[in-house]
Amino acid sequence: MKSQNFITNERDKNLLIILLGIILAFLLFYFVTSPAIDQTAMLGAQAKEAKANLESTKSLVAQLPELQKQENEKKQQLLEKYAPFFYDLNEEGLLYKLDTLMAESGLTVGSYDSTIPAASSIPMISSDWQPLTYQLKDLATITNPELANPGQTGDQAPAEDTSGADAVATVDITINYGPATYPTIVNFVSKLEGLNKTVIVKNLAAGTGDGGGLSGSVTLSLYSLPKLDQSEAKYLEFFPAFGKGKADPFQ
Amino acid sequence: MNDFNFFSIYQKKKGIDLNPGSPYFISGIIVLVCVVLTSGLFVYNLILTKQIESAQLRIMEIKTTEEYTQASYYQNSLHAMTSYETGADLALQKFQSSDVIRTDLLSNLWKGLPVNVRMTSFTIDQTTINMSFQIPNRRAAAELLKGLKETGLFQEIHLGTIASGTDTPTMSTTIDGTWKVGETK
Repeated sequence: MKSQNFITNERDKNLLIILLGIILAFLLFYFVTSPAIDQTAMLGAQAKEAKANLESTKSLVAQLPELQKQENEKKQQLLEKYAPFFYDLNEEGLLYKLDTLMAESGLTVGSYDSTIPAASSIPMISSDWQPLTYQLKDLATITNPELANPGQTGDQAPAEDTSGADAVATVDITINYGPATYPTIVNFVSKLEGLNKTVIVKNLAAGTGDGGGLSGSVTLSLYSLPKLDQSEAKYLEFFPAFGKGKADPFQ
Repeated sequence: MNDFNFFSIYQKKKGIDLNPGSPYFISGIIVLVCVVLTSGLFVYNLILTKQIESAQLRIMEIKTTEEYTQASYYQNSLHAMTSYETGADLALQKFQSSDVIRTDLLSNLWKGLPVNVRMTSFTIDQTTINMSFQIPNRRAAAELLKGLKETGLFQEIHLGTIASGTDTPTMSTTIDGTWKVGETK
């Protein structure tokens, strides 16, 4: 008995051969060509990035003279701008400096107390004062604007920064003085201003005492900023006037 | 005698008989195109890889030079100084706004004092002031308060108790004031 072939005629045979070719092509495309296309895209992006990095690196080197000039200028500008800040708050230097001012101003000092330097933002000045407001006044103010409560005038206080980016090293010093005269007190405050440094008088108190003269206290806050070079490193430096070394510390 | 064609087998094989309509031909073309395309992609990828390696090698060479190290230092320094300036500016602003108690404040303040009153004590801080006075009479207290108000230094100022002296004819009083922020310089 003659066996029957699956492929019955020439046309079907041709179609199957073409189909086989298409399937082979598809499999080749799916497993080989398509991943190669993806890799081409990825490599293309990497090549572009590498080229851009190379250009920026070359450009950075080419800008060296200009960068050096800008850096020096900026540094000088900032050093001048922040010159009022102390370079550092070393305790003995501050004591020597303030003691000199006290002696020059004639202030008689009873006690001197300094805190340990700590980093903190300079506090914003604010008061508890609240304007007097009530409904009738608000209504009358519409007709008579003179009745309006005077708002804060002068410079606007800087915005509060809660990130701590403006924290600086600070130390508080309390000086109790007396007996003194009012001119010596003012003279001392004037000499502090004459330093042109970041010294704030936080509190000043004076009163007449039983023994005559004025007694009171002055509380100072001093602030330092890390400087960009060493040019002011010796601002608080002083040279000891007394020799060192004792066999008997009690003598 | 018979003629023998010794080259007959070669004559039969001479040339390739292509039939463009043949299904084998069509399938072969399709597969060939895919192979050529894929091969081309592989070669291109190889070229790109070489380019990337070359660029990275060149970057590495530049980064080992002294000039690059210096340029990088200056660039980082400039960026750092920009951030430094932002914080330091704010600190300086805050210092300037809180530097309230100065000699000019004191001299402006006392300009408001009548000549017939005598201060016995004061306490000043960055927001408030408290003063004690000996005064000859209550009118002097009124003039004292008026004079201090006219200095324009206070947001608010208030007269305290006016007390008569027990052993002396003079009186005493206190004044509490709140500075105007920004006006005290």
